[in-house]
Amino acid sequence: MLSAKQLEAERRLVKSSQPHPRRFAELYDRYFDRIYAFALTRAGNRAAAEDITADTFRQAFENLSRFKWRGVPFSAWLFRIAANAATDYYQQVSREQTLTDDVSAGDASWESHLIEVETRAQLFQLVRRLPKDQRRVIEMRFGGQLSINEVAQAIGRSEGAVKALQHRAMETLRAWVGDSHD
Amino acid sequence: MTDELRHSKLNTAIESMISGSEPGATGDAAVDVLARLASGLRGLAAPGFKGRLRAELVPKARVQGLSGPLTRLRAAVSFDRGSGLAAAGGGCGLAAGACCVGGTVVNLLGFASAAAVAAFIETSLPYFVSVSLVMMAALLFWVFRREGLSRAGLTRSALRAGAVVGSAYGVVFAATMALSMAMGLY
Repeated sequence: MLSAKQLEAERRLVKSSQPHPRRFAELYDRYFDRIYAFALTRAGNRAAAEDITADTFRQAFENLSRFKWRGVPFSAWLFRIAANAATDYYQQVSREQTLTDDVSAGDASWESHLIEVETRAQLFQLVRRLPKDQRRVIEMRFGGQLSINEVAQAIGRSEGAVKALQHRAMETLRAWVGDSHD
Repeated sequence: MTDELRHSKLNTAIESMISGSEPGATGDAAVDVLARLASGLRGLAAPGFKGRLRAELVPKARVQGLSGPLTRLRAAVSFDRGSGLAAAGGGCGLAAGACCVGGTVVNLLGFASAAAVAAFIETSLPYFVSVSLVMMAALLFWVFRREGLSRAGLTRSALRAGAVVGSAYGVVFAATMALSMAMGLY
C-alpha cells in the first residue's frame, strides 16, 4: 500500500510522463517486475507472460496521454490493462488450441493471487540487485533455462564455480527476503 | 556436509524445477529452504527481455537533446543502481576538485604560473567544495523524493545511497587533490 507521500510522488511522475513519452521509461522500470509477475501468475508460463507483459506496456504507452489521475495508484490502471491483456491472450489462444488447466486459475482466491504476484515481483526485483556474477548465473539458469554446463561455458567458469555462485545467490536472496520462506 | 555437496543438492533441486517437476526434499533443511525460495524464480523473464521491450517502447530515449540525457540520468540514479549513484557522487567529487584539475590543466598549458594557480586553488577550494556539497545534498534529496519512500525505507536506503555517493565523492575528490599536490600546486 502506498503512503500519501508515495502516491503524490507517483502522481507527479505520471503527470510529467504524459507530455513527454520518453519519461515512460521510468514508469516502465518501476512497474515491469510487478506486471510481469502478475502475467506469469495468470499465465503460468514464460512465453505467455512475456506476451501479456509486452501487450500491457504497449497499451499503457499508447494510452498514457488519456490516463486521468483519480487518486488510486497508477499500478491499478496497469493491472487492469494486464488483466484485459491476459484475457485477450487466452481468447486468442483458445481459438487456436484447447486451454490447459493452468490458464484458467479459477480455484485460487484473489488474495492468494495477489500475495503470489507481490512475492514473485519482490524476488524478481531482488535478483536485479544481486552482484553481477551471481545475477548472471540466476538469469541464465531461470530466465534462459540453461544447464550448469551451458552457463559455465557462457561465463568461462567451471561447473563447480557456477554451482557455488548459484548457491551464494540463493543465500543472498534468502537473507534479503528474510524468514518468510522458512 | 561439505559445501560442494550442498551446492550439488541445490543444483539438482533447481534442475528438476527448471525441467518442470517438483523437487523432493534434499535431506538438508538449509538446502530445502533455498530450493523453496528458488521455486519462486521459475518463470523469471528471459535475460534481455526487459531491455528489448523498453527499447521497443521508448526508442527515442536515445535521441539527442536535453531530455534524452535527463531520462537516462533519472533511470541511472536510483536506489536500484549503485553504479548510477556512484557516478553521481563521483561527479560531485569532480566538481569539488574542479579548481585543482582546472588549475593543473591551465598550468600545464602554460597559461598561468604555478604560484598563481596555487593561490587560486587555495582561495577557491572552499567555494568549490561548498558548491559540490550542495549539489550532493540536492542529488540525494531529488532521488529520495522521486522514489517516494516511506520513512522506514528512507532510513535504510538513505544510509546505503549516502555511503555509495559519499565514497565515490571522497575517492574522486581525493584524486583531484592528489593530482594538484603531485604537480606542486597545493
